[in-house]
Amino acid sequence: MMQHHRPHPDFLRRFVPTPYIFNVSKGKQCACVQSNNLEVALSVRRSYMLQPSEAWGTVLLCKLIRDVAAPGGGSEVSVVESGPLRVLHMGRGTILVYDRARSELFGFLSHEVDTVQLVTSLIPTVVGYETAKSGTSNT
Amino acid sequence: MSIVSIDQTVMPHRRELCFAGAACNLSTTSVELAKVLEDLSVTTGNVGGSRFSMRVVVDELMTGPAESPHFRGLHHIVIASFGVSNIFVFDVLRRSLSARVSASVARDLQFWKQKLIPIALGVLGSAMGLVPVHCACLESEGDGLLIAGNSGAGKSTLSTALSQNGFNYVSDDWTYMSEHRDTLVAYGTSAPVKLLPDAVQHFRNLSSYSVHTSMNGELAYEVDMGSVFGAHVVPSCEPRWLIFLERMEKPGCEFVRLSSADTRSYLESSIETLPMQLAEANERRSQVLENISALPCWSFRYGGTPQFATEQLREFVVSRKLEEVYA
Repeated sequence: MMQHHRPHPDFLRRFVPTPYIFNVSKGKQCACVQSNNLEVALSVRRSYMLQPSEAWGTVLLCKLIRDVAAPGGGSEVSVVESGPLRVLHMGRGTILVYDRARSELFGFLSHEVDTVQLVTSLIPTVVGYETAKSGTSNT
Repeated sequence: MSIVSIDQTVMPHRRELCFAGAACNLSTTSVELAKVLEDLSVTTGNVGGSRFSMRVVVDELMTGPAESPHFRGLHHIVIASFGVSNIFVFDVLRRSLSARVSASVARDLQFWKQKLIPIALGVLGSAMGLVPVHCACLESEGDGLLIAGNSGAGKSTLSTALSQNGFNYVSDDWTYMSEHRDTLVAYGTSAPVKLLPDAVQHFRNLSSYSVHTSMNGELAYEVDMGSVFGAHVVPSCEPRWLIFLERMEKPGCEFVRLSSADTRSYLESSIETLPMQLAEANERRSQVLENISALPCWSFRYGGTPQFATEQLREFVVSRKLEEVYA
């Protein structure tokens, strides 16, 4: 009877393979970029090298999943800050999480988010760089 | 862009709550939500070291209901959203749940009862040694009977029939297991029993309810065991036996003793794999699974009505108790 049981599927998509891995450094700073999508990994690596250090906060690990199964629709951006976490939602399918204490940035990108928007807007926003520059806050 | 800073928001409503044996420190901006969660809180007297925090900001300007859920997780973080207005952030390492919800969701008792509390226990439980196991749990004179089995095997149907025939009801689909003072304890939540549409042939009173799409996409009746079936619901018990339920075509039944290795194999396959970032949680969970596997365990195959199976299980429980008395 036990052969009938199958492992639970990965509902949370925690274990999506991320074969595109780059270690990038800028001066004394270095980070590891991982993705399941080459374009995303390359864009993030390029951005890390070109943008000011502050734009990346304390990020040491950046793991981003291009999420083909994510629901689309909506472009409203909301950020929830709680302790060391900043969580950005765009629409329903794009989620970025920045854990300041662990220096980790990870998330899921719906097909509607392009890499330019990711590196110029979403990542700076979730690490707090964009907000600090513009002084945006409504809470 | 909206930014909600949970740290900077004043949360005047604080409560010490308890769900499935886990203590919960609630902070919220909404007195209505505090009341809803207070109503769902169950103190069992078995509260161990399990504790998590729940901080919820209620946006009174948002009034939309909970939409269909979307879950994602990486490393120690799990995100659940029910539309853009209702976002839940679970931090498994820090045992915390932070959320922003609409005013209507904050007041929706069924949402918290059927969805959010079971989800929170499922996600954060691993860090607290509280293991969600895919099985039903019934209790008879202080002794717990766990009923496991594949989806569709009839766990909920059998649980309902047992609850109408002398057993107390703890849970029907997910049971939360933990150790309290070296004793294995099984907890239910206040989640409703989920019965597939064909259950109406066994329980006629279901015909006055309607089926709807449950969270896993199945069409089902989701009803309160106490009020609909008159069951006596208890929050927890000490499990004594584990039964793996299987159906067979021909009428009759058989019990076959299973090894703890078989039991462990089933349990391992029925739980979520944890990422390496949660190694400590994985270890705690492994210990609880080991203790569940040590329970006396049988395969129970039957063909016939759930009422027939109920009679067989009643006799089984009585004979196990007698065996233990004379052992």
